[in-house]
Amino acid sequence: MLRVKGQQRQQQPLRNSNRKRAKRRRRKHQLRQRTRQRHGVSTMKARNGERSPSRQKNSAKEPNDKMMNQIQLVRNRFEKSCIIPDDEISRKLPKEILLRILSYLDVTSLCRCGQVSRYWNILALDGSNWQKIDLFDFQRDIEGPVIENISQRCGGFLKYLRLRGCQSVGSHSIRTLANYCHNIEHLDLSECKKISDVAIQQLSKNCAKLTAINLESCSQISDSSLKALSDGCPNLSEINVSWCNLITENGVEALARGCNKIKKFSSKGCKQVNDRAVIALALYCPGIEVLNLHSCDSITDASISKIAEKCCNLKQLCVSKCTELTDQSLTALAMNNQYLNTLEVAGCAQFTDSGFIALAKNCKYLERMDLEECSLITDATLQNLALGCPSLEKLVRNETSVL
Amino acid sequence: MPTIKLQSSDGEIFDTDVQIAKCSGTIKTMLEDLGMDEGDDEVVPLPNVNSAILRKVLQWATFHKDDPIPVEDDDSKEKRTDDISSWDADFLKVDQGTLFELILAANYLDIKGLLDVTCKTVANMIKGKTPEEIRKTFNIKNDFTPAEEEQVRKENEWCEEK
Repeated sequence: MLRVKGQQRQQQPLRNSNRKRAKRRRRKHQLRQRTRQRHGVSTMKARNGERSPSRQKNSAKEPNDKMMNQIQLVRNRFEKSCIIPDDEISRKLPKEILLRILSYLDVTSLCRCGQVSRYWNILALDGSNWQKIDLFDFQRDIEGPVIENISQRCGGFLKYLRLRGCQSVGSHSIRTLANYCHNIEHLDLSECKKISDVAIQQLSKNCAKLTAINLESCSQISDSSLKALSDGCPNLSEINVSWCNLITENGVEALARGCNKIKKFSSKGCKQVNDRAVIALALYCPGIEVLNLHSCDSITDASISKIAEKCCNLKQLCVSKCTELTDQSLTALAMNNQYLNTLEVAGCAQFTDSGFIALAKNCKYLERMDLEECSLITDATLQNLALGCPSLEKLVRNETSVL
Repeated sequence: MPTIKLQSSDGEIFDTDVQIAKCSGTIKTMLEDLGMDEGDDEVVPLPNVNSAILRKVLQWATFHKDDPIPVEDDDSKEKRTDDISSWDADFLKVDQGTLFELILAANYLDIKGLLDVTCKTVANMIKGKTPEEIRKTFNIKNDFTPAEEEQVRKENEWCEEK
């Protein structure tokens, strides 16, 4: 039932935008004045639509109206009533220069500029100022409506949004974001614990340009989010689903099949990410450079051997607490991944000197290693690493010892 | 050293070192497109810049003539405003009217370095101020109705409570 509903929602905006586009094409050569009139009319519609639910129903029946409403909401409410004031700065400097000045401002200053006057509100809320937004510093104060407001003011301008730790933000806000900000490329939702699959499904439908998404600790996120991303976001190159405990092999496999450009994948603490999941990543995403499987403790040498074999550009690997792994994994990495620069294997207690000696021979770019609690290794490992890896800067062993 | 003649909007002629004049993208293109050779006695008219401002612009360009070619803006980087050199800061201790005219001239003449530093200076006049202080700084009239002002304040209050 839910799914059917979702599909209808998906189609409607698409159809609307096609119609809208056709309409725009037809009107392309018409006079500017008429365009202005049209905006004027639709402002009224939008306002009415906002206020009375019955009107909203009507406009939902008529797709064009609904689209108009959306566009209208993006426009600034003061645009119609505002005349350029005659103070020196507004009179002398054209809008594009004022926007250039505002482009140097931080979020707080911009929000204050928005409260100066009608004209400055239009300037401050111009989407061009809001391409990259980091709300981490405001995480405690960010409520859903702020995100909805920002989504509307930014529209297609927004490319980068960081909401790390904004725990009040729920799926509804992210769906609004998805509806307005189609060009978003980088979205950090880590620790937004209220977010569920519906939000990610909507994002996947609308935001095909998404290249990086961070869902760390979004504990409601399940395989259906990964399936949706697989369908809708083929350009995805970075994804973090660490501590999303519901994620299983099925989700990861679906993701890998659809998103072949993945370079960074992190699923720390996802106990259900197993060999099948990792092998799928290796097969479908050969460009992986950074892989974090911390505490995915069911994976075996089969996973790492496949990753080593298929992903030749692997640079950073974390398999700490993957206790099933043996020297076979290290040997496979040594044979295939000469560019490896970071290797974290804390708690992989089955590794021995012979595995690390092979590594030291072939991976000469290693810079950082974490060997904590690799209790079988001896000084032979350290000596070989010291000789074979001249770039090694940091080596953690038994808590504190650093090479 | 080869020079060219620049004419301000009020008719004053500035004999200018070609290298210095060419820090203006507009003049550089003009010279190249028109095939004006150095040493030609032709005058380049700059109808959008008066003599007082042109004098300032040339003073800035002379001081900065050996600067590296400015790089294109990188949107992904946070823009800084705390990197204005002390010479520039002193140079830009002028009244607001002059500062705005310099911005316009830098924009028209396509001198990125000067445009950046003047815009940063204005941005610094805004940073850290309350809406009322911003109004006072630039003599801006508050034309919100009380209801609008309240609504706008509410919408933006999230950025205040840090």
